[in-house]
Amino acid sequence: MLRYFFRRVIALVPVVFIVSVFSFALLYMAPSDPITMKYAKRGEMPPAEVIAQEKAALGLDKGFVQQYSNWLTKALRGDWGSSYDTNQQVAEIMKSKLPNTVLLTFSAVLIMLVFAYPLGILAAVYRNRWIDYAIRLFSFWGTAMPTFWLGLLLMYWMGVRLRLLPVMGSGDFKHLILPATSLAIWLIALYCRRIRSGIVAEINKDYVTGLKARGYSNTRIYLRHIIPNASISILVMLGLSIGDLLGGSMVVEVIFGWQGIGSVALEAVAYRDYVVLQAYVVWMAIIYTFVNLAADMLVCLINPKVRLTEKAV
Amino acid sequence: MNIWIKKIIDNKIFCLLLTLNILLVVFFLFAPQFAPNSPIEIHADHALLDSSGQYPLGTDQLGRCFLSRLLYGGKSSLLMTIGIVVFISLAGTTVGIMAALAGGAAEQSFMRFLDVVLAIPSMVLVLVMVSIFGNGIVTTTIAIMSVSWITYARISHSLVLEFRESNFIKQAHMGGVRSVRILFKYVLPNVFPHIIVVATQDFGDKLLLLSSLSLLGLGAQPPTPEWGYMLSEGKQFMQRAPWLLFYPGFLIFIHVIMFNLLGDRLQDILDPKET
Repeated sequence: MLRYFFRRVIALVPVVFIVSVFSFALLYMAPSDPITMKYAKRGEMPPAEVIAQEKAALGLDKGFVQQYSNWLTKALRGDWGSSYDTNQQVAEIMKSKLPNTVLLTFSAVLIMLVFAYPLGILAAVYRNRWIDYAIRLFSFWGTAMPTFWLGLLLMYWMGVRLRLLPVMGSGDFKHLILPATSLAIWLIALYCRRIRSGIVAEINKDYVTGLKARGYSNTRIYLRHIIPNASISILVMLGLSIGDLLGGSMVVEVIFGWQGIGSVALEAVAYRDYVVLQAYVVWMAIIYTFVNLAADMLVCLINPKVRLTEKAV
Repeated sequence: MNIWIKKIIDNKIFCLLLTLNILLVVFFLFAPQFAPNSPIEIHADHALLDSSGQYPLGTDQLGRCFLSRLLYGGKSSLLMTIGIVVFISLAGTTVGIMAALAGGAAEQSFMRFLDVVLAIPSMVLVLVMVSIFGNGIVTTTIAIMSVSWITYARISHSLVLEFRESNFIKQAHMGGVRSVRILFKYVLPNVFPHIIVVATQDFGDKLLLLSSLSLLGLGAQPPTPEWGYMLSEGKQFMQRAPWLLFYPGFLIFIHVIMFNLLGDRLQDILDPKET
């Protein structure tokens, strides 16, 4: 298990490295440069020598390999440069904003787990009865519902009409409820369908019949066998969904004024603030790959089949 | 291939859904014809009016006829979404099949490329592409295309892998059938139905992606009416004029749900084991 874990981590190193080269290269090739952007924003254009001088000061006149290695050695030491736009340290922006996005994403996943499992199990147990149809209808509605529209409607009803929750803002629990719910409803809709089909696929297997024949209670069979077995594939899918969530949370963050990394990235795009964007891409890739690694590890812990084949390899 | 077409035509619900979908899209492509007023003409003294004879759905914050803006607002997003789905499914499938059939170093480098790209959440990649290509509905479309063809490449690659080593391909090779003929006669018919299903289900996702980018201010630029961007404008006036929020979102929702229904139906027909 530990060996498998280390092998997986080592296998990730080249991927993360290439992602960093990739993100650096994309932005290196981008047509507009920060110095020109800065002066364009101020509305005055200094002579070309001044621009060239400032570019040289930032190291923007050097070749690709030189620029990349400069950036990488600094980044590894925790210096991600400072924002072209606000002059703030990128590492500090990340440190203050990233936890908010992670909090939002994980609250959404938590809400999803609390609601999707009961719904999925109900639908599977009472399959093809009215409750199953109702849950499937909800799931169909929820996956088609634009997250941003749902967020705006929630904001309108909860914030403006009923005045139960603050409309916009960031930081405390009250402000978290609406954005997390708008993300979670989409997730619940997606996952209660998957959980249902995962459980239905298990119900007809021979081992369930065997357990029933030996007189185990239905509750025990569900709790100890069917649900854990169905959860394995759910876990893998959840790891992959985190990518959509990290990206998708941006819209919700902007709508609700939640101070996360998504709104920072959006501003960085608007101002062509490439230093911030580079850090954003690399960090998103790191989080995403490691969440997936964690999901695989959990599967490995739960599922003896994977555990044993990994040992054999 | 003919079996599939027959199966599809025999399915009455699918035909009904397909007709409805086509009607819906065609209606919004020609909807500007029915607009009662100009979608961009500003009347500051008519701002945020409720519905009336002159403005059936009221006006927005600049006194522009809201119904006209709604009718104009679908055209560009729907056209762009159709363009995106058609382009990425064709391009992605071509690359995926090529990689799977080529094998060797080409396939290996394709797989490593996938490893790297799939390590970055797709929305993040789209954002990077937008930052390179610039804001605007066309550049955003190109940004989405440049990222999302990869999904199709991955799917078609793994589909071909499933039967690349199977006997009917081997026999065709042994029988001296030319590679091009194998591609069109044996490979494509096995990949095509799946890709069609994925593409139909993808339409809603891409429409959502495009409108959320517009909502963020990266897509359609004002004063062009676009449903996603209209939502972000409406947000500021939700207390006085909540209708500015209701209709654009509802129109996006209707399109997504119609195409999801169509896609699910198609999947039931072409790929019954999935459900």
